[in-house]
Amino acid sequence: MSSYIEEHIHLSDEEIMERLADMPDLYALIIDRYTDKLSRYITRISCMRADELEDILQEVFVKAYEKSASFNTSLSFNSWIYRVCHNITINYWKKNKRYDEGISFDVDTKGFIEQVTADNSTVETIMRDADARLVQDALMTIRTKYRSILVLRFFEEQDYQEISDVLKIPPGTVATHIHRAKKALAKEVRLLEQKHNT
Amino acid sequence: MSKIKSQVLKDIRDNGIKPTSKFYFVTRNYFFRLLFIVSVVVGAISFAAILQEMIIGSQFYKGTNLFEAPTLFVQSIPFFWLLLLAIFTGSAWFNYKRTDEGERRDNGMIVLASILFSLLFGLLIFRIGLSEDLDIMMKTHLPAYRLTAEQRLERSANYLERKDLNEQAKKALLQRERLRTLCLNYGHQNCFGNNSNSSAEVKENLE
Repeated sequence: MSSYIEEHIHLSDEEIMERLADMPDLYALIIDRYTDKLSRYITRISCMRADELEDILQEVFVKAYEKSASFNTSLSFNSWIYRVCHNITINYWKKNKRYDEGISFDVDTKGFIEQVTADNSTVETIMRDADARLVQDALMTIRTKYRSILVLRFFEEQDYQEISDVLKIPPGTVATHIHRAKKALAKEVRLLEQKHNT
Repeated sequence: MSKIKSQVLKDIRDNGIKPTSKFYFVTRNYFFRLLFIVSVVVGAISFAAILQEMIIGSQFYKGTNLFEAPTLFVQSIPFFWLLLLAIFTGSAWFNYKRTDEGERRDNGMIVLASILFSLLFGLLIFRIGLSEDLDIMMKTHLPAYRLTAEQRLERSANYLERKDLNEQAKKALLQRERLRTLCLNYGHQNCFGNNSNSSAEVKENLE
């Protein structure tokens, strides 16, 4: 890393975005900070292959650079770049929709199940003993908007305001969307279990 | 340097990609705000026109019973203006959603707010008499519009099935005569059909 960039490594994401017009090289810091996070997010909501993932990620960072002036300081930069990533990924997913069964999540699905079932007895009953692989399959089968909100909440650990900013939904409806997403997931798990057992 | 980082920076450098100017985004935001305001205003004009038409139609209500009044009410609704109000409410929602402040707002609240603004502003337009001026201007210059307004009045009068014209129907026809006169005064020769007997016929019935 050049010394010029090292000098500015202490800057926050928002401060870097403010200086981007005059100091475009600082964008390298943004890429460093968000490559891993966004890779994981893209994989979780769309199960892209590695080559597709690189293409998407490249497009996300280039697009974010192009639209950097539209960054609204009322949002956190984290929410803003997740939003750019989300939109590009979803558009790509819709055009090339398929689920590759060879790809799996790189996270603890059991941990995810525990979090999802923590406060909903109906969902808990269905998912308590569900196989981790079935949950992953169910997660990739439910509607994209439900999958996205579950990933943002339980894998990316974003709060309701951040989810509202990423998905452009009213903050008051985030809880409702999460509730519906959990029910949809539980329903899909039940269907897959029945299919598996027959 | 990671592969992604080097590819992105290379892409930006080789293609000369520069951040879009902030001016574009600010202008775009104000543009959609303006379109929202315009949509609300057109919605207000539509509502004022609806009120105007229904006030004209309400002349038939006096002396009607509970069964006749609802039918007369529905018959007096000018569906053109109602459709315009609906379209521009939709337009207001569409445009507000594309502003920075609107993108996270609840859709229902946006629609409700734009209808409310249109209704309030429309009421104001009606109260200061602009809707009547608009009504006369449209009936003067747009034959098709005038025709539909007349048909609405005639439907209401026919529905009542009074053999002798009642006071309300007479008033409605009197207004028609007034409009026809205004129309002719503006130099339009084909108002209400270029039939000089129509004026005589009305006058005969009014006596």
